[in-house]
Amino acid sequence: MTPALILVGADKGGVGKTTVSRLLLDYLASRSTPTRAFDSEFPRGTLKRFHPDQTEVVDLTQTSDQMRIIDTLQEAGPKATIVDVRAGRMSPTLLTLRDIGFLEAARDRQYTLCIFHVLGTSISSLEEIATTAPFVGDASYFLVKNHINDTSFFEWEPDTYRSFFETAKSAGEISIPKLNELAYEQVEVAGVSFSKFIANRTPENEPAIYSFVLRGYVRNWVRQVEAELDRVKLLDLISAKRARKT
Amino acid sequence: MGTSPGREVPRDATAKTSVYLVCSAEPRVGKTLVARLCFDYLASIFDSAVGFDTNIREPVLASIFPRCTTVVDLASARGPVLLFDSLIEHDEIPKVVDLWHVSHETFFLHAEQLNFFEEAERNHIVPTIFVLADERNRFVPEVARLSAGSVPLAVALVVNHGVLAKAPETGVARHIITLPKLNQGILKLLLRPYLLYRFIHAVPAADSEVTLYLRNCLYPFFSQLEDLEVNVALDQGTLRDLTNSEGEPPVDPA
Repeated sequence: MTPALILVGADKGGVGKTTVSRLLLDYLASRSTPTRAFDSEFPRGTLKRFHPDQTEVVDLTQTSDQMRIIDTLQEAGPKATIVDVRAGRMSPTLLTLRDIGFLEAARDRQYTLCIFHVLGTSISSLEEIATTAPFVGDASYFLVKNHINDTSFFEWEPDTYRSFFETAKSAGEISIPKLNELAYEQVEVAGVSFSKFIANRTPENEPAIYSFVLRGYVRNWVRQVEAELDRVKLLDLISAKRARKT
Repeated sequence: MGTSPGREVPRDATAKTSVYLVCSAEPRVGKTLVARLCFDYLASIFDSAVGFDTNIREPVLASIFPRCTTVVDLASARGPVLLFDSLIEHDEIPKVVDLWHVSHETFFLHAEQLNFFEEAERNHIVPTIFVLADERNRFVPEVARLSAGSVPLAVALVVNHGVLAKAPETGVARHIITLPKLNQGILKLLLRPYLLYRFIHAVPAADSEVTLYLRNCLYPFFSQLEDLEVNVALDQGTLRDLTNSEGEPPVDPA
């Protein structure tokens, strides 16, 4: 099995990168795929707050932390590694991956690379796509429209949109639907993963007393997201077999 | 009004919490009247009941029983949370929901999204749904839909002769409850917070003409609620207070 690296990022802040990372962790756990995560929001680590057992906080600008992620991909254990890339670090991270030869190795199928590019509502997100596209190569590249806060997206400029899709081989689009604001707020307050909230569990895995209704909203929302990830066959992508070495 | 001791509520592990949902997608069919009578019945026999009124414009049920009834705006963010979190709580306090026709679709949409009826079954909640018959026959698909859900629900069709000019087609429903046309005096009385089920059981029929009239008007409806309750309990195997530990009816030792 090829080790899979999943990057979740955007150059813009506050677009829901950590939410997408949390959803991916829950999704892969529900599909019995051992996964670890790196939270690059150094030193705070929002992702680590919700998934403390699986997450390490790293500083992506430090070579030692880059080694902690990349050099351990081959090790036995988790099949997938999620990196929640902090705002503004998406392009530099891709540049680093190119410079260390990771993108080339991914092209040779020594690794699987999936990129979840979370889009903001502004037109600058289109420019981000144009900036990111040259690095994407053969990676599975997904544009994530996060409607969690009932966001309405700009109408994409058709030429830019088309030209982007011509440059990225496996670009796809994923929509994260809106979640009831009270439900989202309660999960934040509880400080647990979405799956633990649905299961009515505290961070320590003790029985909790979360609202039945809010749990229902979260359960229904997570199901819709899972359907999106099933649709793009994420599991198949990260379960791709390693290329035979010549 | 007279007082009689309420029925002893079972406290064993098989105890259930009743939820009566009174609904119709049509206005002016008598939902609030039925909800008021259901509240009266449950509050009389269980000593306490809780009501929910989803008509935010004219919350009549809440105006009759203000201390026990909460007005819920199902169109708000917090309304569904308040309502469904209360309905799913297994506290053995019976609950009545007077579902405004405007909120009808919203309620069932939320119920579906939340798997409410499945969760209710797991949580020892017994929902009974009263669907009011209407002249446009909108109740027909409604009763069929509710009866055919993945969780077996007790669905009763209520035929309110106070608003229906002709008898509706009732073949669709397993349980049918009829409500006679009530005169203005009784309807006015029903706007006051009296527990009439308790009253007509406590006061002798011959006490006065008014009592006799009241009994004649309301007793048939209440006795249908009693029958329905027994039938639902039999269907669900929860009629514990009438059976012994082997699940057989008690035998008179004499």
